[in-house]
Amino acid sequence: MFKTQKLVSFALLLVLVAVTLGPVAAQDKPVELVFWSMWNESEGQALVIQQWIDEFEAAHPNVTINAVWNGRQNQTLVRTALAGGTVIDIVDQDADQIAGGLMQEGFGLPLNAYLDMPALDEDVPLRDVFLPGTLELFAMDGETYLLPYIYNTVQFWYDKRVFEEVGIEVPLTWDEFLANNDKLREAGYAPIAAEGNEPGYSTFYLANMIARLKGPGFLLQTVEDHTGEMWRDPAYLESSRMLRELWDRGDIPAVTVGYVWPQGQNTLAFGQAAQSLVGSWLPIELSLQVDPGWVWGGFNFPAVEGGEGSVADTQALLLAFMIVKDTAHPDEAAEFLRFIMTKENQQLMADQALVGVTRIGVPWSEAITDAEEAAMNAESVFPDVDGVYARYPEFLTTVLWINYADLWQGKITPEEFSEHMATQSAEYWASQE
Amino acid sequence: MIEQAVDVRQSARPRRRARDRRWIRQLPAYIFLGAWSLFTLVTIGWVALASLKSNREVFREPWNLPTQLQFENYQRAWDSAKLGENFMNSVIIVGIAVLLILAISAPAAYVLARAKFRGRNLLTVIYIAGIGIPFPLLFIPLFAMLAGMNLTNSREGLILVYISLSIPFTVFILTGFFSTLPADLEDSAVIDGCNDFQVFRHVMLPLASPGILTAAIFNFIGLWNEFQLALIFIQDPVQRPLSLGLYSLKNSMTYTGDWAGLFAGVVLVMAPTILLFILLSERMISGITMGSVK
Amino acid sequence: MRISKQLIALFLLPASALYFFFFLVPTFSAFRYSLYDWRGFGTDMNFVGIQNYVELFSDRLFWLSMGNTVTILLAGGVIIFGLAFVMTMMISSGIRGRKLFRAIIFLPNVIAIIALTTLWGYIYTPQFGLLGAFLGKIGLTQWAAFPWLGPDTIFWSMLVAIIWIEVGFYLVLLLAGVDKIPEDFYEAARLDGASQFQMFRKITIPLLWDVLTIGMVLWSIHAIKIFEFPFSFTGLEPNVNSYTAAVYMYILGFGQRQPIYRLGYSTAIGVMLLLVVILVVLVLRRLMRREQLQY
Repeated sequence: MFKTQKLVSFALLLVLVAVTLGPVAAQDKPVELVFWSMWNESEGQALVIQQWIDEFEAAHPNVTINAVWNGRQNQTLVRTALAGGTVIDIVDQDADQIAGGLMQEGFGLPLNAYLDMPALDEDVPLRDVFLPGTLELFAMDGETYLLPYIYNTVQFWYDKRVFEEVGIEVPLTWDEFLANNDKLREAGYAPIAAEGNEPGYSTFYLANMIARLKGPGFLLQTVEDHTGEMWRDPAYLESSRMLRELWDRGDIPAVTVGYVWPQGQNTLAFGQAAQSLVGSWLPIELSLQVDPGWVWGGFNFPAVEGGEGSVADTQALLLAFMIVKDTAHPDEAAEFLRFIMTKENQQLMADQALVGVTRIGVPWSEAITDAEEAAMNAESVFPDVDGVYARYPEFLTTVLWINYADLWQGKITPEEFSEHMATQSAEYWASQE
Repeated sequence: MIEQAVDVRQSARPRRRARDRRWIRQLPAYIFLGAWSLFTLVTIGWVALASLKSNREVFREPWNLPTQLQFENYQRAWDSAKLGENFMNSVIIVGIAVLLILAISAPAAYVLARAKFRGRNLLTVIYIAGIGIPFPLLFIPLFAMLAGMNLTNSREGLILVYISLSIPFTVFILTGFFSTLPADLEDSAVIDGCNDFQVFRHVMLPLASPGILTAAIFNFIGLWNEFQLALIFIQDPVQRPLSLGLYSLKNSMTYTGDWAGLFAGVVLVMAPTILLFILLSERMISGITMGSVK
Repeated sequence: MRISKQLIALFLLPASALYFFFFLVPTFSAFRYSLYDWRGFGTDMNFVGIQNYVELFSDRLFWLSMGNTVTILLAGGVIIFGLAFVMTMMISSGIRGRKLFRAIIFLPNVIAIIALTTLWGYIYTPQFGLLGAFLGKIGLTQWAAFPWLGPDTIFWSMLVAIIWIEVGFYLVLLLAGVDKIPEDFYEAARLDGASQFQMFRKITIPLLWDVLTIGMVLWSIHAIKIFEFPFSFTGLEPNVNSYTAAVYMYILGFGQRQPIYRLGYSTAIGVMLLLVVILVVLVLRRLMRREQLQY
């Protein structure tokens, strides 16, 4: 009886393997896939991806994957190369950036059918192994084009030893946060390290604050209001005042206004400052700078009293693969993406590159366990600048960032910020028609 | 000039005193030029020093000497970028481009300077107008064009762009040179039985060699450090010239917080050009001045 | 000597063909592209007439970046030529180490620009940078924390670095010009009882004028397309406050991180740059002519 069961399950497994490998095995013609990557060759993530590629090629002898390590300007290079007739099958990039670029313009291969196939190492549809919200974040008209494989949370990062030394706990509300900052200041720390002159970073504050006050999605809705009137919502005045208060209280030191990346985060590494609101990549970026005994902790942007958002709404900056629609080998490319989503392969990325990954149940490295917890328990996730980055990059660059920088750097008042945004949004949208 | 004039007027006075006066008058010059030069040398020297520090020292003790020399910074920089390959790409791209620029521009400049034909002035003006066209204007049209010819993302395409965009300025410099050469040399060569091509090849071209060298140096310096066109026309890391390679190195090193490694990479890229400059500075500088000062 | 028609044609053809196809044709297509709304290389072009130019007028970033370019051109130019002039006078006053000074001041011109931006980014880092730490060491602690890269200062900090790089090139030009002035001009003037100032005014300046003009034309063309320094000066992306028109064009057309891709609009900025060049050349020509009338 027992033996039969074993036999049957073995047979089933064989069938499963046959079905899985079927399309590949059937056509033994050599297949060459070209993958253009956002990583530089020597970065930890690139090393892991190369290992994935090697193992995938070993398991599929007829497939070769040629990786081109472009660095962060990958998408720009891909676009120009595609226009020049270069064949590219797979690309990867910050999900926000690629969603606003290649994906929105229809260069992506629809992945829904592939996501309905079973995962390679678990008998559930592939789509069910992803951490909550990650696949859906950039879905367009019900179709998925991006397969996220690295998960960064935006949280306040700090050295747990400092919190112990000062005698404070992780704050859950804004008031607790401010009280902590008082204690940190008394203890001689600058409470917050920030890149004062790096709009991409300082916008984390605006996006999180509005998400806490009005819930995720409100900022995006505001940007989409072509009359600009939504910028006059009291929530913007309130959030602007609360953010400016951080400067006025000295929680963010005045010199911060002159910090461009990575000068602000270095003050955290050097033990001058105590907390920094930034992606969970920070522990890696600072690994060569911090004390050996450093103990990383991370906590979500605190809740605001009376706000509609929850402290468990998490800002997620994902990195994703996309298959180029015109690829000659969609099945093989998709098979590669299925392959990288096994527990084993995801664990490899988490362990070797020390980053968060998108598969459920794969423990992240020690420095970012708090990020993993936030990702697991997220009530909802929202992307960079609440999705504005992906959908309205030009508005973000030419209207939102310059006005927000003025507010952040104290050149205009909260009232002026709302006013400028309202009028300039209306002008911007009028000029786009 | 002013100082010289003063000297001569004072030459009647006792020499020793004149020398003192002269030294005092020149003191501001020594201080100013000395401070400027010192700043340049100190900052560049500082990068070399930082490239041997550990990452924790780079920021925390910027003015201290490294406690222990970290030569492995250089190993990391070398490993993480293809600096060797990038260097060879630059040699190939810039070398071929400069040769072809000269081979194409010199004959054209010669004709524009010395031949008589209808439309010569107009053609000269059209060439010179090209000097003023800002390259950024061409980013997109030129890219679209080369994409249509399958020449983007290739060294050949970049060489073609470099040649085409360097023609106006090179023709401009060389026309100036050819037009200053004396006419009787041409005439005597003709009397000796040279045809017009031979006159160009055996008489005028050798005479213009200082000018051609100038044009070569101008183009070489410009193209060796060229970045913006390479950024647009080269996508594949394998094809990158050194300027792009260093940019990519800068990115990859900063994302991992490896500043010491970055500085090591900067030294690796700076050192050959500085060495070359030390060897050739007289030549380079006189080349530049020859082109523009007649 | 007569040069045959065949040789003329043969010598002109390669240069003219390349120049025509890969320089003039794209220049003219740029005008055409600037009249289209074109969202990316793979996508359709829609004719919008002068809409892109109308939009430029209300684009704050366009004015900011164009303002920066023009400031580099004018303020940078005045300072660079002023410094180069002073240094030329100093170096040609018969001091020792003349060649050494000239070579060191010229040195930044041969170093890869990304290496220089890395260096300057580090010089300006508040507190921990070269400058900050130095000021801290000599006791100027409040200056040590000065935000050199803050929104109001970053452009000027960049301009200082650009001047440091460029001044050597124009110094070399001017020095060569001064060397070419025959010493007997001054002798004769001295015999006529001319003062130093008169000699400077009547001999040095006029005889340097050609060199100066060439130098200014070279600088204008160079300044208008300045891209590398602001592009790679600061951390993750070029900082908005130090955008030049060329950088903004690149961001709009090719994108650094922002997926904007407005090729037609971006090209319209290129056309505006060309207008600036034409304006500058006209002004320079006028300046030159007036001086020539004086002697």
